[in-house]
Amino acid sequence: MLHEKVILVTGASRGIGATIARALATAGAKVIVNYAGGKELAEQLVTGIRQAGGEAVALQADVSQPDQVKNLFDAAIAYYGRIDVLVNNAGIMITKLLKDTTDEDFTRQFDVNVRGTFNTMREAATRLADKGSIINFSTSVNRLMLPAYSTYAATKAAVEQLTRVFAKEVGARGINVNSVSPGPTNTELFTKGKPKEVIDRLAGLSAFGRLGEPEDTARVVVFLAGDEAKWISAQNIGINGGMA
Amino acid sequence: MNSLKGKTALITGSARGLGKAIAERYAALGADIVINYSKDRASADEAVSNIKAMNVKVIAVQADVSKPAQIEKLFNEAKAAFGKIDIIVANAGIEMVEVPVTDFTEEQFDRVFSINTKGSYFTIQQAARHVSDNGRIIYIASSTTSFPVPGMAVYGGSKTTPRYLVDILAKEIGHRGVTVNSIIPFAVDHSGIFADPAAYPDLRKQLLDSCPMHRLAEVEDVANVAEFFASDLSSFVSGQHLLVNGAATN
Repeated sequence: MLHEKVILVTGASRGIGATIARALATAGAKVIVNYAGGKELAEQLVTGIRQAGGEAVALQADVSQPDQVKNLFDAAIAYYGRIDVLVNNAGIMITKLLKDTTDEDFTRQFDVNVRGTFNTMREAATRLADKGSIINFSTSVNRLMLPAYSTYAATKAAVEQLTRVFAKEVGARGINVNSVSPGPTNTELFTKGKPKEVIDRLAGLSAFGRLGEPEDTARVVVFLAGDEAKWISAQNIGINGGMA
Repeated sequence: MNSLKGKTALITGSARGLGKAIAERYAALGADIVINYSKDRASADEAVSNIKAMNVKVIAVQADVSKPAQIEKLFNEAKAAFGKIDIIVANAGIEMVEVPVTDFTEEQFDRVFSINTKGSYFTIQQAARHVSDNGRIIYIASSTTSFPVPGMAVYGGSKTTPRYLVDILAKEIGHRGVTVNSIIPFAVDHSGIFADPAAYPDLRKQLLDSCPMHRLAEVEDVANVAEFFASDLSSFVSGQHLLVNGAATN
């Protein structure tokens, strides 16, 4: 399905990103597993993909740093010859009431979530292959208005807007640009430190009565990375079991 | 490749154009097919023979979707033939463009709304009653519901209302694992009002200029997305409305 496509997944050492990397490799893509700090996890993931008969390589870069993103593109293109698809999965979430959010909380989230997406798309504007695809990460939280998610949701709203405008700018090269909005997903990032009743309440907001699984999001990314989704551009897809 | 082997799919308005392309795509993926047509028996027969050649089961059922009793009959005949319905695409509709607000008549309004709005409402109601657990309900809207175009007041209005039904039904039926979504296509080339390449030159130019990829949609672009919404790839995607317009702004 994704035979021969070279796909860069940012923040892929764990969580939804790792599941996406595995799913893309299973579908036949050559996957660049980008990580910022989780070197060991990224290398384990690459080993696992290779043992299953897939192709992958781990490359370090902090997406919030423009120089590192440039180096990441250099290294990826040196390794596989080109990049066809960019999956901007890297992101951080800090949930605090606005009154308790520090300057550092604000800056870190905007640096990774917004500047990171901006940095990789700026490189991709000239260096992604013609007819390529870009998949950005928003969140269903920005349709739900949950307390304590104000800064996080604001970063993702910015990502959605970058997506919509950039799609018009690169459409002439046949590149489509979309975003996905997972709802609450059963990853350590989401469940860690949350009482069971909070998790159950959020799961109950879905029409299916459950949390999303990383695979639910990975399957949609597999679709958007393929040629079949080419006429979809500047769109956002919620992956939340009818929650919002 | 997604497989729909063992599934039954019912597509309204599937003798021609977009509906036919979706029916043929589902058949190519292994689904048994219910073709529906209102008047064009010859085209329905042609669709049936195309699909038969793909080694799946297929029936064609006549039903005018503006008549709820006929939609009920359509679903009953489909159930009788295949025992179940897993995928329903509410596609049947008519187009009406280049009629300004000052000019549309009550007759035009009633005709467009009875097929597009009432037809989709009662098709989706039957779908909600008959669809298998973990099944799929897909409504085909129009991009004019997202980007209003002059002259499309009645048509766009008639296509907008069922999007709300999609939102509600997604919540009502999610407990059965059924997903409910809209596909919102851009103007489709070689089909409907653009079946004739010389038709509506001003509208065509306006639409082309609004699209970074500088083309209209092809039925296959929309069938690709109909495949996604019917497949396991979208099993947690529900209550969504997906524009399929090559990033067009119109």
